[in-house]
Amino acid sequence: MQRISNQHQQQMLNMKNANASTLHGKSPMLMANNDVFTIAPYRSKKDSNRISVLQKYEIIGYIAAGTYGKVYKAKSKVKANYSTNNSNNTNSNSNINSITNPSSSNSLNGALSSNSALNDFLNPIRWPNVPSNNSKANNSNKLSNIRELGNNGSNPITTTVSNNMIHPSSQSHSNRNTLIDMQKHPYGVDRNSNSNSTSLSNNLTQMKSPRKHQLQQLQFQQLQQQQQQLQQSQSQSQSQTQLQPQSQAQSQAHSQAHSQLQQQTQLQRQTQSQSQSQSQSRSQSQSQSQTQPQTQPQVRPQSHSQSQSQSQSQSQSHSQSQSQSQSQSQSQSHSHSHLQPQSQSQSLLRQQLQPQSQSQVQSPPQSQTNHQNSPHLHQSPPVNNLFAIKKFKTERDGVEQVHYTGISQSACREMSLCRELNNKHLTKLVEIFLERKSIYLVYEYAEHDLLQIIHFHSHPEKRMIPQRMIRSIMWQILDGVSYLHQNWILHRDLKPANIMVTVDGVVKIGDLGLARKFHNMVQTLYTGDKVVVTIWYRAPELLLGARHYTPAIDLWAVGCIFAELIGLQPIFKGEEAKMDSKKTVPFQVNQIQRILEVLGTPTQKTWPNLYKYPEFDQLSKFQKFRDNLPNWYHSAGGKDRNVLDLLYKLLRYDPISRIDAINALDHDYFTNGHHPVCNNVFDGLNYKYPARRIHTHDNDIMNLGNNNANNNNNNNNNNNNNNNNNNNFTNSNSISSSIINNTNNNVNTSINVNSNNMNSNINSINVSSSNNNSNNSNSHMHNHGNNHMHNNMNNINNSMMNNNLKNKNFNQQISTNSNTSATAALGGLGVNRRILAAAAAAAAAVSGNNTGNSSDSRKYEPQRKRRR
Amino acid sequence: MSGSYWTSTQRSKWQFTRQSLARERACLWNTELQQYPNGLNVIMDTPSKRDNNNNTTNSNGHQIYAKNIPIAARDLHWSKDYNLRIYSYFLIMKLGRRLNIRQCALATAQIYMARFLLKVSVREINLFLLVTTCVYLSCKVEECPQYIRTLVSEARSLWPEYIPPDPTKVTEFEFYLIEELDSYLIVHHPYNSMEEIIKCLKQEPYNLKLNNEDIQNCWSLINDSYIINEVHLLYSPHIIAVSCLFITICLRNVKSINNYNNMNSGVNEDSRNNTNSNMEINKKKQEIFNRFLAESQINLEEVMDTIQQTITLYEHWESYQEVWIKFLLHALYLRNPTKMN
Repeated sequence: MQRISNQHQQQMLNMKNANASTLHGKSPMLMANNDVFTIAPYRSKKDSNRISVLQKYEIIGYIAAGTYGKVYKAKSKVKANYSTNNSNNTNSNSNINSITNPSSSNSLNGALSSNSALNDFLNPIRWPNVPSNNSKANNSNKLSNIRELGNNGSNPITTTVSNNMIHPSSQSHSNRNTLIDMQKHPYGVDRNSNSNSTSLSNNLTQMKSPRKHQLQQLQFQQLQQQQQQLQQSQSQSQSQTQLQPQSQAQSQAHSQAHSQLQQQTQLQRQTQSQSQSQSQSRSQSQSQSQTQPQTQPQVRPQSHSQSQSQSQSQSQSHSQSQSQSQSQSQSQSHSHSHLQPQSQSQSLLRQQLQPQSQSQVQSPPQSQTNHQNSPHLHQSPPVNNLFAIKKFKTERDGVEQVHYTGISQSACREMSLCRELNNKHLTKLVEIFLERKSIYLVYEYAEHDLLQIIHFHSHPEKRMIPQRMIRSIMWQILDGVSYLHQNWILHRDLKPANIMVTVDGVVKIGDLGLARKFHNMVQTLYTGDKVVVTIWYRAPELLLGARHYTPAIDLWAVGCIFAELIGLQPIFKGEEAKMDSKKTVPFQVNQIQRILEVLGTPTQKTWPNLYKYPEFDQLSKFQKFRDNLPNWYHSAGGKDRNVLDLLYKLLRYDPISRIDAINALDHDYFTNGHHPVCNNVFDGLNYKYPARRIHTHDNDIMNLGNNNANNNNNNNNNNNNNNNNNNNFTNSNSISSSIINNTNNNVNTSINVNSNNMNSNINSINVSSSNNNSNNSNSHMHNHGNNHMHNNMNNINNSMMNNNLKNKNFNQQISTNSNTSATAALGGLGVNRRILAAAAAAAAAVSGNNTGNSSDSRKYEPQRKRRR
Repeated sequence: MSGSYWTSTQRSKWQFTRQSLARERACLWNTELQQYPNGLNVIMDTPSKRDNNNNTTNSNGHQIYAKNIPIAARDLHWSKDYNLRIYSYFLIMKLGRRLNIRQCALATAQIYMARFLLKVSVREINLFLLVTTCVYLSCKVEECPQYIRTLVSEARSLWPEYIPPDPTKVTEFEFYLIEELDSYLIVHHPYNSMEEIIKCLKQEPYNLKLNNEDIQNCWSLINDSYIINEVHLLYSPHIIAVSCLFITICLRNVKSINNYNNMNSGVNEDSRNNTNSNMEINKKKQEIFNRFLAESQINLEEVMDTIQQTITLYEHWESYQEVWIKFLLHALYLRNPTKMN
């Protein structure tokens, strides 16, 4: 005791000293240690739980590149499996689907983002009409479930046992957790090894007793088996062969694998239906759900299956809200019976549930229709599978070094606004990934955009866009714009390239990177961004230097788009005056000239407040023009008086009298036509527009090469950073080595040291990339070493093909990387820029080679201005 | 939708019920118990008054002894420790004042912090870094972005021990913050609702005009409501606005009337008349406001709960000990290198 108190005294004295020093500044100040600065333990915890974009999406190629980053086209891996699977066993599908959902909503242990991700994922991709706000109850349930799960996770014994033995419903709660834990990622090879290791490491931290340890091993073995099976089943289903159960255990895992895939996909549909069930009364959702007749009005052809999933969603919300309730256990046990049909302990339960499952397969009229219609849903076009992933970089090339600037303002806007918005005519944000210092916004994919369509009509020779189509496009654009404006959002960058059209002919306004809320503004619009809107679509008040502007600027842009759809080229195609070195905003002489040439010179009468604009004086320097719009319209081949009238109203000089979006929707052009405005842009067309061009030469979405170079730079420049990295190393090492010990894998530890750099859960590709951070010249060796590790982890890996392919790619990449990092070491810090320039050049080259040239026209389209 | 609270993600994703909020908190509480079973060891250094064999006294005659603050104690738990909440509230305010950031952005930062600390323990992260990051992010979202270097250097001058010089730490943390927030960043505040209600009260049939002092009071009450951040996680902004208005109009004025009465018991007639007229005006105001409440179909239960919590807050505030919470954080972050494994 005495000694202890002595120690304390010593410490105390230290503290006194420290305090004294902070007061008087004599000796070095007591600083927080590295962990406090870097919050390393918290970070590693979060990082290990995170699901990577690459786990869920397969990058097909990139669509466009810009200073902000790139837009990629991607395929959802989950859905891909889903469709292949379905062809084999649609039968069991509906059954399993109906039950496994509660568990899948729980699947994401602590990884909140991923949870939301999954949930969002479900937002109505198939049913764009359906509002996707989850009801309040559902949401709170969701949140609570995540937490609940955390509690359950601390109970590994029960979970493992139940998983191995398949306990009856009493254990169902913990049971479903493990199931999920094990089957987090049913996608492919590397993903599996990955999820294994993460769930393992999670559990390991909580496990101490030897018994638990054994169980853990058991679990791991099962995991491996399962994984193996999963791969088998995948490859099998891909080759369209029927699945043959081999041994008992295998077939078990087999069916697990399958049902899991379905479970995942079902989850998507589920949440879609959740959003639907919102419209239904709560009381209904409280009542018993499985066989309840549905009274929901049906919206679309698919609605049979919708109603089916509605009943499921009810059961889900039900079971979620009452964690111990009967319905939950029932549904759980039900799910098990389907998950593992061979298990004996399940037979009882199965008998119990027989009527239900039978009902789905055989008789009762309602569920039968559901069942019959579910395949219909699966046959829906593959488009639903596609996504556009917009990647925002957060690193910027400074003069001295690449610095990490955090989220850019435009990424922040896009993220925050798109999360709130939900309209048929806006690109739907599906989910967000934050990973590796980049933001990935996953949008639903739109095959066309207006720029592309206009281009298709103007090359090689001009062919008018059909009137009906223009009308439909315009109406949908205006609808989207009016939605934005009603939500107090200015888009500020409307142009044909930002207006997408899906294969179904639905117009979607995209790119909210310049959009901004104008409700409750803290700063004036001008302070935020000096220059907005691409020059050709910039409203006259902006050109005259307006400090305060209104939603009318968006309507001007819509007017320009309208004119461009008619004339097949930009109506005011001015040349942009470049910003000078002082960063003052230049007066856009040429652009104004173009506008005056068509619309005539504005007068006090047509624009009462004209003289108030800062650049008013400049206007007197132009010669006077007469209004020329009717001539322009007739020369473009137009005859419709309503078109001209709407055009006039949209291109009115005075922003106050310019028509607003809602009134424009009521314009005679739309209401007085011979036909009603069609919902599908392509209605009645006998030709198809070419699909979006995809550049496939660079699918390195994670930008591993750059990352490498950056790490090098950082390490050189920043001692602090070095320490942090070391910290990271030690931290993740302990985890990984414990994995190794427990799984008896003969993995070279040195490899592991390298493999855990930052995000331990990024899939193996990334892991190996971070290797050559430590030593450039050896990067190849390291990489191979890592391959070994990787293979070991995937032990009995059946589909090595996939894996190897990826690694091959990787080797190439790494070789280039080592080159660039070598130059970095020699020449300094501009690597990132150089790589970017090279990528841009390559992109340009590719687009130049493309026969169709939608990208050509893009080239001379002026870059939009963004400045802060 | 960002235009209206009713369709916002704030309502659909980030509004809790009492039960779900309790569940969230219990979960964090449990993980805290598991993660830090040893609690926090602090070394007390108080002027010695009593002699105790176990404790030694240093040269200043101060008593030094080690004290263990068990993890189950209220201290440093965001959900229970009002000291911590009041302190962190002022951390944000302090930083914001330094940079002249508008209250709206700061309120957003407060909400971010509340949401974050609902999921993550204070012991796990660096509170000061969190504060800086919240302000940085909220400024971006509210479209008044701050340069990160300015912000970090300002924060560093306020809390040099806790803020790393490297601004990339903030940007890194920003990611984790957004992740915990589920990237739902737009927040609706009661300020607008308050203004709308005031506008509505001015019109027929109420004709109730609030003076500037009342409005100012109400405004500050709303500011303070961010300390009891439950209400912001539980209720809609208008509930909070109405509650604060109720306190300003009905409760506060009653108090001032009582004061007047006490004061004026022996004073001359003039002032007594004055107060009487004041009283009448106030009474009328209250009646009108009560009528408004009754006719408004606002959930009165929620309003009453908010009022109750606000009053409790002020009770806690009376016993607020900044020194103690500062000391605890000091011990937590600077003296406790092994606290995180």
